[in-house]
Amino acid sequence: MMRRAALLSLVYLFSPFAWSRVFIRWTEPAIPPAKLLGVSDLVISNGRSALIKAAIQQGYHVYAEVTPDQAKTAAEAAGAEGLAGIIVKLEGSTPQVGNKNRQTMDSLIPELQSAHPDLSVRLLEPGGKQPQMRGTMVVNQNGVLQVSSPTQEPWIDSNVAFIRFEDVYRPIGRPIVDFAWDLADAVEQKFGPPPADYELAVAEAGAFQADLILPLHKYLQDKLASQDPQSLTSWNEIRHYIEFYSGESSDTELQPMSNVGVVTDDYESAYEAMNLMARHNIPFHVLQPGRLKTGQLQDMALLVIFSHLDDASAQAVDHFASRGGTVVLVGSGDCTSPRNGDIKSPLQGHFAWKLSPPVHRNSQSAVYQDGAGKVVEIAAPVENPEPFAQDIWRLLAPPQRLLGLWNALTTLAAAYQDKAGSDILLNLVNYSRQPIRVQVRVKGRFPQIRYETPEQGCCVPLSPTDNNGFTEFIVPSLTTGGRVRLSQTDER
Amino acid sequence: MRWGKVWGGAGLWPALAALLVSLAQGVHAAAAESPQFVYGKRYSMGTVYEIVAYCPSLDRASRAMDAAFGKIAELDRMMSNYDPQSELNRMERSAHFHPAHVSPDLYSVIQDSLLYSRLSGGKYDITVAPLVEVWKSALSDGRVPPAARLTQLRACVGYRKIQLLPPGEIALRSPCMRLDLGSIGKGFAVDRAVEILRSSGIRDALVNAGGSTIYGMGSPPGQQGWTIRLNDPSGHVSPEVTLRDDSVSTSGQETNSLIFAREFGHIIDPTTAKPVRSAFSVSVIAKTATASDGLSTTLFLLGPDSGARVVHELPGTAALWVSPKGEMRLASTGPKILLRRIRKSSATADLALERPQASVKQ
Repeated sequence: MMRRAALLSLVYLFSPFAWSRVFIRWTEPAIPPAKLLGVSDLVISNGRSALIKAAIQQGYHVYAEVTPDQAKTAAEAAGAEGLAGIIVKLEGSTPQVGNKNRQTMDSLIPELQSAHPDLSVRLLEPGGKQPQMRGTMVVNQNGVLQVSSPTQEPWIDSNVAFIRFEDVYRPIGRPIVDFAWDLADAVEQKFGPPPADYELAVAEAGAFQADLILPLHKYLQDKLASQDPQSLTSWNEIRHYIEFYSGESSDTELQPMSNVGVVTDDYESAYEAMNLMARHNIPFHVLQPGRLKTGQLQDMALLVIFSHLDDASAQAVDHFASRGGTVVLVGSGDCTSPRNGDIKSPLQGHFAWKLSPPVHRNSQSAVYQDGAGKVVEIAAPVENPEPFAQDIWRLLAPPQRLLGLWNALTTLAAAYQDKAGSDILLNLVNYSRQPIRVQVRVKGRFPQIRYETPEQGCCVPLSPTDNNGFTEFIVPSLTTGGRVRLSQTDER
Repeated sequence: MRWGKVWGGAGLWPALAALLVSLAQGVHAAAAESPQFVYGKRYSMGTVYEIVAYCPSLDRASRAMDAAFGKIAELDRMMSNYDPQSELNRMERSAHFHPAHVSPDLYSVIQDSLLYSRLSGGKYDITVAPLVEVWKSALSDGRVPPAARLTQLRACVGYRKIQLLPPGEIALRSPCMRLDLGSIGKGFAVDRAVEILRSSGIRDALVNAGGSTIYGMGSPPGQQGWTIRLNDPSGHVSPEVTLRDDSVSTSGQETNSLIFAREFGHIIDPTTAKPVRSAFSVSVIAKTATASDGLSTTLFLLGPDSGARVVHELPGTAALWVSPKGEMRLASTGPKILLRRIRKSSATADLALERPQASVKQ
């Protein structure tokens, strides 16, 4: 089974590369021709046979959304129905790796894919949400307006934590983000979200390399089906974004750039911390607790460990710390008294660093020296992720901070680099969707920088400043999505 | 842009959030003449401004909200420390050579700030900007600025070195003086937004600047006012205020590190040139957002004892200090702050506990 999944992953790897693939969720009976919409992939609920047939006739590749129970039958019938694929949607509100349903799917998806090689079979995990900048007002159960945030900084609802988790735990293919719109008042409920909200969803998925199921509001579907000229004009703005992020790209060799690992197999316990690390533009990737290897950790600067480690992984982590790495153990028990609390530390065993007293201790944490590195035990699960994320930033020594953004409270960045580290691609997403000027610092020296956006296309040269091994530059105007290409080769 | 605008609908609005869906749904059932619920948000001054309004005409409400957000954006450009071309920065570059002519808004916000400087004997001071900048830069690298540098910068600080020359000129009597309007600018912007909403015929609205300053105009349908639950660092009380044509602001230090021993806040005391080390959070109610915003920083810097004395000199003002340990101090010359429950506290003589009203809703 593992071999089959690996082969399927290779097939996926060598298919044409795009930063993202956008599926349009269609629900209304009338549907415009695919050529008019300019997109070809539609997701339609299983059982809507007439709509599926109409969509295929209009030139779309149709993917039926099915439940796990329907998956086998749907896959068998897909050929006769002319489906391009099926998307198996799991129930729930968050990804659950250990869930029995998910374990079944982890084997079923490659199995179905193998049995139906012409059919695309994808798994859709719950947990996606509408990307947006939130305010600070909420309504509690009694209808009292309540200030929800202790800080004045805007709250960003992003799918970065979800995508990074799915990067590791999906059985095949890219993560898929699916969400429902938050519609707050009478106007939005009637007309749907503004075009900029659609563009933001496309930009986020593209920036963080996820596929997206973009739900079109009923009103928009109806207007597009009736080929309303003004709606088509606005739709074309959204299309620019889809094309910008879904077009074929030569960036196949680029890998996510990060030196922070989050070790977890439990989405819920690590979610808030991952969310705030993303919010502070600390690039991270998720590591599976049962598979940590010394070699795998050699390029890392810091590990945040939420899940219990087996002996081999614990040894790899201990080795990592002793060689100069920083390890943060979350939920390790009471730091102010001997470790006899109810909470089981993620790292059990007899390690050298435990033999000496901590170099620093307070009611919430203890810091131990471990060879050239250190181990930080945080006693309780992360209740307030904001200071936690700030602590992670401060635990990284300045030379270890790969990326820095200023005047960018509403902007998240995703950095990718080639194996040699000579080219970096930086995707920027501004959740406020109001043009801002962003100051950026990237580790390394890059004399050539180019900036492209869905609105302006390619490319505007930006002026780099070398500052002690970091390249600093200013992105003059970022509305929603933008891409910065940094190269060590100055071709001017 | 909203889709509604595309089809000649409800006009240009900022994007919506789903935070207030339950309120909106309540309105849908109402008759066409009933007030319609509208909500908008926009990023400005490093935070999110939100406006909630009830108005029979969606179109009028949307235009009014657009104009209000437009004014906030204009004031952001005017008061920005980051934009070298902001009116504030341009004024700073010239006003120590000769008096600079400034816009009525900039003159007014600086004039208002000086009131709180005088009230606090210089604890509140918008000329603290050079100290704020050096502390911010040092702390981001986990350092403390050198004492010599702080001494040097203190020469740049002092509200008495700001000279107002009516009707519209300002002189700065220090070449290194820089102004930071962050402690009053949001409140000033909220007041200007409220003026625009009122002049557009909106009677019932709430304007929120990132949760730190909130102004309630009129009241939601069927309510006495806008009930707001305030931030409670203790978790022991749930302070609530009901705003009706008045404002509440909250000041406090940022959240503390889980790991690092010394944690400094972001509010600098110009008299010591160091960050204030206070666990208290203070919420202030006043008739204008400019006043509640300016006073909340002033009273945070003064602390509960001196601060309460200041409050007692100001009509229509109330302040509540709360610490994470549940220490509290309440001072008021009129407005009420309701405390819903107390498990443990060291309440002082000024503390007035009141049971919540039966209809504390929205």
